[in-house]
Amino acid sequence: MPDSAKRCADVILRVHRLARTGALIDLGRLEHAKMVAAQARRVDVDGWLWEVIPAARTVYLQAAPEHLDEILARLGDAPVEAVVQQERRLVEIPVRYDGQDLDYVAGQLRMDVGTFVHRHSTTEYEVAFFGFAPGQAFFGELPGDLRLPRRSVPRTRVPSGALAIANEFTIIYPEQSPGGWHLIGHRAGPPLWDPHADPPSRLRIGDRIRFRDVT
Amino acid sequence: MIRVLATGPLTTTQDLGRWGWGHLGVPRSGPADAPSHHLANRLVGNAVDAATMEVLRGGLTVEFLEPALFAIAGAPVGVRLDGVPVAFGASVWAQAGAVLSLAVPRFGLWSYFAVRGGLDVEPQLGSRSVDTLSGIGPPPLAPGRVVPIGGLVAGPPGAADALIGLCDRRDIELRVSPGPRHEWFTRQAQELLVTTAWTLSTDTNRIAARLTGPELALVEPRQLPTEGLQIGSVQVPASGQPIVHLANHPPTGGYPVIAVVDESDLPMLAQSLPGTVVRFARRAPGRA
Repeated sequence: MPDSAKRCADVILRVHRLARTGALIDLGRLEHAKMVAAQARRVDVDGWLWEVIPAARTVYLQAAPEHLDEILARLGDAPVEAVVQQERRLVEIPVRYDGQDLDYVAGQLRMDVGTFVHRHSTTEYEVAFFGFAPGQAFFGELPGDLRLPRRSVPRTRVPSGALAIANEFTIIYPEQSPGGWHLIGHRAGPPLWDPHADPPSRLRIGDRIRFRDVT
Repeated sequence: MIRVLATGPLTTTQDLGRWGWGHLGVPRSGPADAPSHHLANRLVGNAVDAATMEVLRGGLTVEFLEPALFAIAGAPVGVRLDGVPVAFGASVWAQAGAVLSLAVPRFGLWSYFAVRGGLDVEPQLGSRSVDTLSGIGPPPLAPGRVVPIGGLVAGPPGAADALIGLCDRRDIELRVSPGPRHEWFTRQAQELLVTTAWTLSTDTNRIAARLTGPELALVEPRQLPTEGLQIGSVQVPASGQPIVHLANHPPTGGYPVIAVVDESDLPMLAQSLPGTVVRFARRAPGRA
């Protein structure tokens, strides 16, 4: 059955109720998590949901207990399809490919650095979800032959603006923090997150992303 | 306006926190002990979203630069106005120029200082809460800071609660239901969670309560893709030592959650001193 003929109930693997106000929905694929999160916002016509947090394989919902059941029932009946709420903007992010793990990454992927940089900067990504720190977007998905698991030993200090990859995602660290991802470069333009700005994030879930190599 | 003259280990402004920003990675934040924050506000007739000062282990001294009605709730602490002892857990009138000082609480961690009208610090992303995890919001309060009083008044000052719900306990029990990754853990770990007398570690703050005890093991080693976190989640990182997420928890986490503590039991945990014995009691899944 194609996704377009399915209801969300057909792709939801399991719903975990968390205490009284939370629900964590398990999904098999990032694509389904994005669609289920968008549908959750769509069926929430009364604005009952306090939070809708999509992630790689899950969607977290929070609402008053008397509303959460109703939202979950409506969500199960909603179609599995992208919700076009906004024009999918193309955002270009200038980056320098000069990260300290670049040689290691290219070596592990059995390609030269130039090929890796070319592949990474010519692929189009999408803002899949945010997490870990305010304004930290997860850009998905890396082509299968550019993927590496996280470092076995995280670094205690990764500089603000570092461009990094792990598994199917690319991220840019918004602040200096510990981190276990492979550093391939850094952001060359202005910050993507400013809590004093309105909106605080220059990016939205669903934005199309290209990294422009300005090395 | 109020001038801060001295603070203890940590004094921050807190309101109800940042709701609806979790999808951008922004923690909700808000008071560590929400019922005590609400009580302090009610005692001075404030709206529920008025900001209070959350005071860790007392030590706060402030000068009123204008007359104001105030109240202190939460961790029970000696309160003096110009050196004279005044009531805890009740509304008190202060003249302009009066100096309020809080001693160190007899027990508990967090006391709440509410002023009629609320503290009018600059909101960020719709909230006056200091977010101690990500640094969003105003900075923690420091000596010399002058804080305006706002106009978030709801009605007349409320009556004191007969029971404020905070007792001097060194052994607490928290009700839990199974977490989303309960089945990732061995049977033995699932049993250990609810049979162990856990010890609250010194490394406990507004973000999370860390517990020490036996190691909770997974059936097999596996990495969890990042997922949304519910307040009260009992998360088990690679060390096997559980962490209970409190008011300033991150909105997502990358370690499996074995159980979730009832939200109504979290203020008691947040107020507990390091060394407190913590037990988990299982309840039926899903519902309150």
